[in-house]
Amino acid sequence: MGMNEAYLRATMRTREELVGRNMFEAFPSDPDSASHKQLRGSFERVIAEKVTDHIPLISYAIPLPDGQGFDERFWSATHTPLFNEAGELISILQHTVDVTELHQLRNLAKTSALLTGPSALIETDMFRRAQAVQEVNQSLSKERQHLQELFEQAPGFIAALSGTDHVFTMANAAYRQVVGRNDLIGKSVREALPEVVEQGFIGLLDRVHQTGEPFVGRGVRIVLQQSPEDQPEEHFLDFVYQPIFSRDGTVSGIFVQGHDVTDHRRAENALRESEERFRAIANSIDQLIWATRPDGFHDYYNQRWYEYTGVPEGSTDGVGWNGMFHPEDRELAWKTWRRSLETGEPYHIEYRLRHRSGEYRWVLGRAQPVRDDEGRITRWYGTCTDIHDLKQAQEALRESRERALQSEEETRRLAAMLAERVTELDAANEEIQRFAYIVSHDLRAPLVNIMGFTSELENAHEEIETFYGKVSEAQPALITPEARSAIESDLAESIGFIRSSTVKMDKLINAILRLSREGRRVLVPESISMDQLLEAQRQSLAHQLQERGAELIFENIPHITSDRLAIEQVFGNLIDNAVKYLDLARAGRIVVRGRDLGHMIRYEVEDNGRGIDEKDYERIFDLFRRSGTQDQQGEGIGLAHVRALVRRLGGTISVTSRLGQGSTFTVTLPKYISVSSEAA
Amino acid sequence: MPHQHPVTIIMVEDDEGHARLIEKNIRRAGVCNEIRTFTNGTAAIEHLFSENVRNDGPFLVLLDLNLPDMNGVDILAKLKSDELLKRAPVVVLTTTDDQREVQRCYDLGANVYITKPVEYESFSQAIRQLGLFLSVIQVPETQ
Repeated sequence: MGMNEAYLRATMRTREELVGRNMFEAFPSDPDSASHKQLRGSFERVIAEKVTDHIPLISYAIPLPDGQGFDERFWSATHTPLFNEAGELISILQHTVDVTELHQLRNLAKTSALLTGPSALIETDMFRRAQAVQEVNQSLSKERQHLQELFEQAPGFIAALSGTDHVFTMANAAYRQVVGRNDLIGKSVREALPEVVEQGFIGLLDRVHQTGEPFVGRGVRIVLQQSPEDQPEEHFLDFVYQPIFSRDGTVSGIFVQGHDVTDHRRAENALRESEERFRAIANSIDQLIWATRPDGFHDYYNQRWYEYTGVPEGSTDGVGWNGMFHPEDRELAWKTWRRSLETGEPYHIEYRLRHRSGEYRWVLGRAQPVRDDEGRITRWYGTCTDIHDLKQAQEALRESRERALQSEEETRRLAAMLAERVTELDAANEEIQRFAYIVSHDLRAPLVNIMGFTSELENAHEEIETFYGKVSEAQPALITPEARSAIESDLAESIGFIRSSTVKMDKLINAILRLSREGRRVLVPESISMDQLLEAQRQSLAHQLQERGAELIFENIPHITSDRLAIEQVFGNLIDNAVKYLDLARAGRIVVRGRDLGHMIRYEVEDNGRGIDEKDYERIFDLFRRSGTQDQQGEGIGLAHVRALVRRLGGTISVTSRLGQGSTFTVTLPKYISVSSEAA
Repeated sequence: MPHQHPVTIIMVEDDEGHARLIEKNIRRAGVCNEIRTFTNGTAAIEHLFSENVRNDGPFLVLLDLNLPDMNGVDILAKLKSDELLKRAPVVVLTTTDDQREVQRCYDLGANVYITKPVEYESFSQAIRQLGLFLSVIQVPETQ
């Protein structure tokens, strides 16, 4: 408190008693009394509204200076707010007049007949008026306070602006909260909220002020900095700028009313974002996605659905989806879907969906319900996945399996036929071998006789010659030229031819016998070192090679698992032939080489000998057939034997040659001889 | 006494020429024993297994394997499984030198296996050796 002399006199106090003290400490009163409330209310109004407040009449007792009780006083007071340069309220100026005497006079007039004169009447009338004003004021004040409380507590923000500068005359708590400051009253919007100047609001206010047209804003974005330290914050407001008209129809101010819808807006934004995100995800997924209401009404399809089916957006909403499926699948799809809707069980179906190409493609349809907190279905979310290729692959696999089974059966049938045929051939082969054996055996028996009796004839011939000699000495006349010729030359000549023929025949029979025996020999597979085997053959041919000045070269020869005896005979015969039929006009050169072909090994026996005429390529492998100049020993058995052996080992033999340049025999044999190769 | 009898040669040979040649050569070798020739297996077995022959040894069998009615090997087996006849030496005479057949005959108890060679010289040689063989086996039989 600070005060002037008049104030000290009126209140019967010294300056020292009052300076620096609170009004209600210096002049205590019952806080519940009407006078206390009246005074305090006036101060609060000034503080809150920063406007001058009047108390026309207040009864406020002043404690007596000697502390002996209170002096009943009546006052009339004006409270004026005082501001500093920053516009802040720093103090309230109380201009008070002691009207106690006037009040006492009035009371006296009420009770005394003396005061019925005009002056007393005037006094009384004046007082009554003052009192009436006071009462009206009090009632107004109450109403005003009530309104102000309502205004203050209103959930929406409310402010009143006055003048072309839009000076705040009112701003409720919600408003102050939105803008984040309290010191608005008496300030222009420009001063109070400098950060909104650039956001277009001043312009809006100006326009409302100029045109008298209200402005309604919905979800308007505003950035507010609630204090210099704070970060600017984004708000969204729904508001109305309502012009306030004065009596003459001009705009005196603007009434601002609205709601901060930031949270609502944020929720909306979040929802929209979430929806956008869902759509983005839904559209980025390769699957067709759809959603329905709880009653099964389709109200959403992702972009892929429309791309896939090629139908216009929205055309499959509701129950239109069913028509997109293959006519044969529609009923099942409908039933399945209805059942899911009724039971809430997940939807699961494979059906054919019409692709934009017109083709019906197999898709896997699935859907799941989404339920709320009380377990009620709120939506169904479904997908369709193209499984056409998979389905076709499965189908193809199944068909191919069936085909494989069929072909396996066919193979088995063929194998059985083949086995049967092989058995037949084996039997035939066996028959031939037995035949060859028997034939050779049976041919030999008469041959033994021919030879035997030829010998007997020779013996007889000797006897006859002795006898003939004696006769020609004793009785030369008995000797006719025919007898001489028969005994001296014909007999010997005939016996000679018989002998040479039987020798030849014996050799042929032996050859057949050998072949037939070879065919019956059991093959014994073993791992054969070809280097060693061939080296042994070189040793046995060393003499012939030296004689003919020929070289025998072995190049990189893969080893083999086969029948040793057969392999020895094959290579023995081929190398022997090569040596035998060298061209003596040039240095002989025989090369044996081999190459691993995986399952087979190819051997070559190459010579630079006489060569074989192309027409004889097959013939040389036939029994008793030979080719070229017949100047070498042999019966034409070697190559026939070799071919029989190679075939038994499961291989092949062929020859290429150029007459006068040399021949190459190519033998291809299985790397591992097997029992089955023998069967063939 | 049966063992004091000279050895009878039983020849089973269907080829008359062979039979003749064999006989000639046996005689040439100086063997004079009786030779009885059978041209088929049935007749030969009938004779050999007749009680008086079976008990009335000794004899030597010259056996050809290639007979019209049976395989000589079967005759060999039959002889070698008989208590009495198994003591008789058997000379197998045949045209083949098939090693399996030779082995089979020896396994069954053949005493000698002779291949009939086409070259007559070696044939006669073989028969003459057989004559020598006959004279050798006659020694224990006569004891």
